[in-house]
Amino acid sequence: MSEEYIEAIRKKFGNLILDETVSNNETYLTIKKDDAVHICDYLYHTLRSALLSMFATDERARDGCFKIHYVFSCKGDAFIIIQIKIEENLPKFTTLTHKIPSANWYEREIQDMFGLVPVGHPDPRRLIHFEDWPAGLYPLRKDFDIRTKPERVKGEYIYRRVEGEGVYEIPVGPVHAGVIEPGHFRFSVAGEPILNLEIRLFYTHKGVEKLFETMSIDKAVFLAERVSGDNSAAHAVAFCQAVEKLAGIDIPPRAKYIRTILLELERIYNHLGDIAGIATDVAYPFGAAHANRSKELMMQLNEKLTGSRLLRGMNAIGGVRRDIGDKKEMISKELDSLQKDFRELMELLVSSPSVADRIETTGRISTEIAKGLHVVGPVGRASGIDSDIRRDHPYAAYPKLEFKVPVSKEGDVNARTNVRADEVYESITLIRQALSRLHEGEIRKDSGKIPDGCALGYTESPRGETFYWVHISNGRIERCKVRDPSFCNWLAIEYAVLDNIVPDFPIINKSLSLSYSGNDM
Amino acid sequence: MFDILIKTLKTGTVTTKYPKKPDIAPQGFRGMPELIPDKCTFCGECAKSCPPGVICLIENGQEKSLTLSICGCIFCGMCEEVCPVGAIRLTQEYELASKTKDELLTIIRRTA
Amino acid sequence: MTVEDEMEIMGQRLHEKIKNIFGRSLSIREVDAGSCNGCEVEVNALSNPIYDMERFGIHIVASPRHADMLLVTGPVTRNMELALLKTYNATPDPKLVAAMGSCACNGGIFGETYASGSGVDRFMPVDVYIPGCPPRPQAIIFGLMVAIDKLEQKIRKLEVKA
Repeated sequence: MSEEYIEAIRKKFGNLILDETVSNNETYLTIKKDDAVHICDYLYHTLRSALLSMFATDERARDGCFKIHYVFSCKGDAFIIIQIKIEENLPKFTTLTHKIPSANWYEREIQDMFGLVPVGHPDPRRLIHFEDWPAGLYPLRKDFDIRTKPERVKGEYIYRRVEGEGVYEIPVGPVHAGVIEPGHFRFSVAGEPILNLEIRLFYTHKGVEKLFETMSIDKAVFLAERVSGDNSAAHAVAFCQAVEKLAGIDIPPRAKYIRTILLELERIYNHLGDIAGIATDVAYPFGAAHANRSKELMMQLNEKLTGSRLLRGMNAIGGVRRDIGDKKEMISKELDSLQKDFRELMELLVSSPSVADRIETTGRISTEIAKGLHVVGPVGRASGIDSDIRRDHPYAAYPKLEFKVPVSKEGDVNARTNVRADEVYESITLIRQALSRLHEGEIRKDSGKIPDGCALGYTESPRGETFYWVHISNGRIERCKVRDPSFCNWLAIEYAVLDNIVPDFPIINKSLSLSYSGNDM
Repeated sequence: MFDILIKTLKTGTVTTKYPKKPDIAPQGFRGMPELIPDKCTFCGECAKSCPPGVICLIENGQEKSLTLSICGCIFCGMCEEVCPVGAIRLTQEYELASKTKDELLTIIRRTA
Repeated sequence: MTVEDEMEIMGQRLHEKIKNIFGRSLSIREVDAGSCNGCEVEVNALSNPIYDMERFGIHIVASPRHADMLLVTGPVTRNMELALLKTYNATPDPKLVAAMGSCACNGGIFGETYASGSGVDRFMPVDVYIPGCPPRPQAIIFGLMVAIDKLEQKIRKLEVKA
C-alpha cells in the first residue's frame, strides 16, 4: 500500500509536509511550494513511482490560492497526490521537467489554462492556445466566462529549426490527405531520413474541461463519452467511477461485469481498426479489407447490444443504463467467428514478407525513452513497460477475471502490432469469462445526492491509462481533469520517427494510434 | 498466395445492398426521437435533462410549445428515460439527412 | 427583364449544370473541424468492404483541390476555423458542403464555448445536414445521396397543435 511510500517521505521530508489527508486509496500531501521538486524527484527516482497526471485548480474562492496537484502511482493500488499552493500575486512555480521529462506538456498546459508560469521550463512556448490568442486570458480560471470569444491578435509561432546543407522542411497538415483528425507535422529531412519532427496539436481544442464545470453530473457522462470518440466506454466508465468512488457507491456486480464487457468490446474494435490501418499503410490491402470487415462486424455487434456503434449512452452514475445479459449467445457466437477469422488473418499478415519488411525495426521506441516520457498502453507495453491499469489498479470486474498482459521488448511497429493482436485474444477470453459469471441482479443503483469531495477514476482504454480527477462541490462539478493516454504518447512520436524515412511516418503514426481529440480536448 | 485465395473465396461477398435494399436498424437502436403530442403534459423534464439542450419548452402566456431540433441531438435517450408519461421515445429511424435545418424541427403547441 | 430575373434564370441553369456534373460521381474531401473522432471512425467505415462507397462512384480524395464536396465534422473550433476556410476556398466551384454529425450541424454537446463555434453553417453555406452522434454509415450514404439528389429526403418539419 501507499503506507511505505508515505513513511519513506515522512522520514526524509517529515518537516515539509503541511497537511495529510487520506480518502479511499488516495493520499493527499500538501507541501510548501518550493519543496515540490525535491519530493516529486524522490518519489519518481528513488521510490520509482510514475507521474500519472499533473494539473492545477483554481481555489481562490475557497482557499484564496491556486493549487497544483502531482498524481503519483504506488504499488498495491494506491495513489499519492502532492499538492502545492500558489498565491495569485506570485503565479509561478519551479519546473519539474528537468527531473521528470513527462511533466513537460502538463506544465505548459497549466501555463496556458491558468496563467501559472513554470519557471525554468525548457520550452516555454504556448501549447493549447495559438498565437492569435490574446495574452492574459486563462480559460480555466473561475473568473473566465465560457462564452467569451476573445478577438484574434497578431502573433507568430516559432518552430524548431534544423539547419545545414540539403536540409529541407516538409510541413504537413492540419488538413491531412487521409480521413484523420487535424494536426500539424513539420519534418526536417535530409533526403529521405527524418532528422527532426515537430508536432503541433490542439487544433481540436474545444474547451471540454471548462465545459464539464458548466454541466450537471448526469449530463457530464455524455460529455466524457465524447472526449475521445472511439474510446467512449473507457472515458465514460472512468468518469463514473470517479464520481461513484467519491459518493461511496458500490455498483451492482452485474453492472460491473457489463462494464467490463463493454470495455473489452471497445478494445477489440479499436485494435482491429489499428491493425487494419497498419495493413493499409504497408500496402497490404487484402489484410486491411479483412481486418476492417472484422472491425465492422464488431461494431455491428456493439450496435445490436447497446444501440450505438461506439458503445455510447450505456454508462451512468451508479451502473449501466441497459442490460445486455439477454444477448449472451449472440456475443459468444460473434466472438467465436471473430477469433477464427482473426487468427487466419494474423497468420497471413505475419507470413507475408512484404509486411514484415515494412514493420520490423520501424519506428523504434526504446524502453528508456518510453519510461522517461511515461508512454502508456499497448505502445508502452511494446517497449517493455509492464504496466496495465486493469491489473495494477483493478476496477470494475477485473479483479475477479484472469488475463495476461502481453509485453514485448523490441518497441518497433511489429512489436506494437503483435501486442495488440495478443490483447485481442485476451479480450475475447475476458469477455467469455465475464459472460459466464454474469449473474442475475439489478444493473443500476440510485446515486442519490453526490457529496462534496474529490476522487480519481481510471480505466485502461484501448490506447492506455485514462484518468479522471473529479472535484464536486454542492452537487456540481468544480473541476474535472481528464488525462487521455494520447497526451502522454504524442511526445513519443518525435522520437519514434528519428532516422526513419518519411514514407514510414504514416505506419509509425498509425501504430501509436494517437487520439487528437482526446489530447486536445 | 493460395492462402489468400482460399480466404477470399471463403469470405465471399459481404457488401450490403443499401440503399437499394432498406437496412433496418437493430432493435434498441437509438434513432430519431419522436414526440407523441397527445401524451405530452409539457412538464419540461425532457428539456431539463437534454445534454446538448436541443429540447426547449417555451411558455408564452396561454400557449405552451415544445420544440425539438434533431440537428444537435446526440441520441442519448435521456429524454425518453426521464419522461414521466412516455410522450417521447427514440425510434429506429436514422435516415435523417436534410437540406435545411428547418426540416429537422418538431414543434408541438397547446393552448390552455 | 430585371436583373433579379436574370439572376434567377442563371441560378436555375447553374443548378441544372451542377446536377448533371454531380449526377455521376462525387469526390469528397473530409475535414475534421474539431470532432471527437467518432465521425472519422464512421467515415472510414464507409470504405470498408461492407459499405464500400466506391460502388456509387464516391471517393475520398486527398486534396480539397480535387474535391466536389467538403464533408465537415466537428463544431468548428477556434483553432481549426482558418484551416477550414482555407480548405473551403481551395475547393473549386461548384462545390457542396455536408455537415456531418450533430456537432457540425448545431454544435452538439460541445455547443458554444470560448474555443468551439456551434456548427459549420456559421462559417459557410451548408447543402446537407447529416445528424447523428455519429451517424451510422448507412445514414452517411443516405445523406450523400440526398446531397446529390439521388434520393429524396425523408424527414419533414412537424408542427402539431395538441
